Amino acid sequence: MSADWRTAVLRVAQRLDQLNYFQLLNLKQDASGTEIRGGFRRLAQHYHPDRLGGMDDPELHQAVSAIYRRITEAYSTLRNPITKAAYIEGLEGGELRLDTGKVRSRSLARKKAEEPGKTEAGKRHYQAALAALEKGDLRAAKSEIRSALLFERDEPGFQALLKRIESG
Amino acid sequence: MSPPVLGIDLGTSNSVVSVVEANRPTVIANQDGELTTASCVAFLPNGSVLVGNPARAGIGQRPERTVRSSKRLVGRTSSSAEVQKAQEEMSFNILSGAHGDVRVQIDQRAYRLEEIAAMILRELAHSAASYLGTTSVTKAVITVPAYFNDNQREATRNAAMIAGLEPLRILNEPTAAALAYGYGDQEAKRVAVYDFGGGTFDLSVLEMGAGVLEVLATGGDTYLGGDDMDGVIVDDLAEKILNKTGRDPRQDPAARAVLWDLAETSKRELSEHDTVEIDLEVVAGIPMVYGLTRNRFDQLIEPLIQRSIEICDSVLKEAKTGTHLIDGVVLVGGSTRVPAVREAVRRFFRREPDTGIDPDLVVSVGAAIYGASLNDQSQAQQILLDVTPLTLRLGTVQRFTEAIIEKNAPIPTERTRTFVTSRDHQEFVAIRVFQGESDLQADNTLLGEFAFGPLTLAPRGQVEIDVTFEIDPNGLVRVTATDCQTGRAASANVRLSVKMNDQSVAEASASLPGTAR
Repeated sequence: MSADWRTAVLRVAQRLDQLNYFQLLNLKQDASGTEIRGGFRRLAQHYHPDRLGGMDDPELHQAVSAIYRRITEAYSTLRNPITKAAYIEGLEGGELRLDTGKVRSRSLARKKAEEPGKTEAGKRHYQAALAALEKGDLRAAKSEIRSALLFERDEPGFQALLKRIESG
Repeated sequence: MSPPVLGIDLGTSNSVVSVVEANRPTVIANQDGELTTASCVAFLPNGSVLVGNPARAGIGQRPERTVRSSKRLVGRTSSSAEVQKAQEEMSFNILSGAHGDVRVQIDQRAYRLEEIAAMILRELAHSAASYLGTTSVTKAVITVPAYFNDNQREATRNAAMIAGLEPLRILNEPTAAALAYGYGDQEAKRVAVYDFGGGTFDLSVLEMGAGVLEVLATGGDTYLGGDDMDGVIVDDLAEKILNKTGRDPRQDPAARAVLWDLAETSKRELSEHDTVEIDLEVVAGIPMVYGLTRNRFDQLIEPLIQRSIEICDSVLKEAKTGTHLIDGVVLVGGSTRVPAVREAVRRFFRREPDTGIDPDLVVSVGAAIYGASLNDQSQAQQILLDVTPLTLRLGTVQRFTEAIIEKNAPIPTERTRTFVTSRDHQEFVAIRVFQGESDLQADNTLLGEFAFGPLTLAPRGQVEIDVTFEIDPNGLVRVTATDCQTGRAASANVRLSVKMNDQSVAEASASLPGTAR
């Protein structure tokens, strides 16, 4: 491994937090799936930690490892259309790494649709019960879930939560 | 020159060790001149220990003192379904350790599974050392099923350390097999590795081009293997005996061990012959011979084969590919010798599978090749782009989990997430880490949990904690938490109570019983 290569690797590692995923993988924003994969593979060949073998150079090991981890982060994000779209959205607001919180709130929003309840009031009290439970306020949680059951007496999801709260 | 690196396939039924010498991989024979060593450990009443084929040969005489197929139990909790099932099938005594870890009791000592595995590894290392005429063989690449989780990988690594080996890398078996075939020398090819071993089944799809081997997707079942084929034969034989004598031989440990042995031998013979005559007199207590035909056997194992094909189908989908895009199929594991298995693979992939390298040896050969490449600092290496087989998850409220690193993400990798406190003046935050594909905590494997703190005391929502999840090249998980206010970090190798800490590894290594040779 040449000294030039070493210098180049250390420089990239230092600049890592200034590069967005596209710059890192050397891609245009409209890159296709195949191009994204190609970009990842090119860089992986260059920066894979195994290339160092048993070389005794902790600084270089650390730099290569940091770069490679970021490359896999970029690749995993960009190859999935959902996370890629979320990333581009964040990038426009200046976020160079994926704000996973955003993806999370999206997937939570999807899950909410599957949560129990048919009436607005029932669902609202159910959510309030969950929120109270999360805070550790058992009494409020119990009162909320009872209110939810007033609107939908037979909703199994509500009944299950009440049972859970009562059993502590 | 650095000492050679061993390539070890630590299998459920058999283990194999190889090494690369002068650029050529060699499978090393054990002291009996055999290339495969039974993954069996026998504890004799006089205190001496037999490892390998001699241990297996005596299983009928001392079923409760012979540990076999222990790989099925490694890295699992005693409450897991696999351990429950093993308790019924195995003749040796399985105990639960203080922290839900699995132990094997022999006389007054309760052995960890890591110690059993270490005895097998030490035997293989011993064979290698005598073959190479050196005592400085300490480094090894050890393979595991691609589908192994962090607990199982860590247990394997600890076993190596107990055996006095430095585990240079924990490598996935299918990846090793593909390396042995060396598709990487040519233009890019897409290869499916169908690995039907003694205890596990895996299907992996890899793409191999010049210098790069990329795992596109991998999936499998750690509850599906050749042992299950033996199991259906055992049940078939037992039913026959039950019908004739009114006594179920499975109730008696010694008879059960003999039945397992008969089943395994018959299965092997049925790969060569259309029918096998099984003498059941020893078990039944009356003269009794049963003719098991290949047709009957095929019928018995049909559901097992079908399950493997279903996994193939889902992994191909995961890899966004189809059978028409596969350029080669590699068979790995002894179970792929079964004609019905080969036929099912041929039908599904619509091509003749590659069988140039013995399916029992191919994994170890590939591990040795990779070991040599890791050891070499000069040559341009084969770069391995492996993936994590299971989604890494964080436990959240209401017994749910949140995916942090998706399965089939390339490794090594890391992700950082920021969390805020949910209570005023919260002192600690509990971090629970899981692996699996369910949103519910209970349906995943718990890798470990730790409390991070004390945190800066502040109203809720004011304290931010960065949690970094790393998966290293071995597939091992590490979690680091940092209090963003103070910058104080705590790193914890997520360590489930069933995992051993460094001190217990050192103690186990020091107290590992010697092997009679």
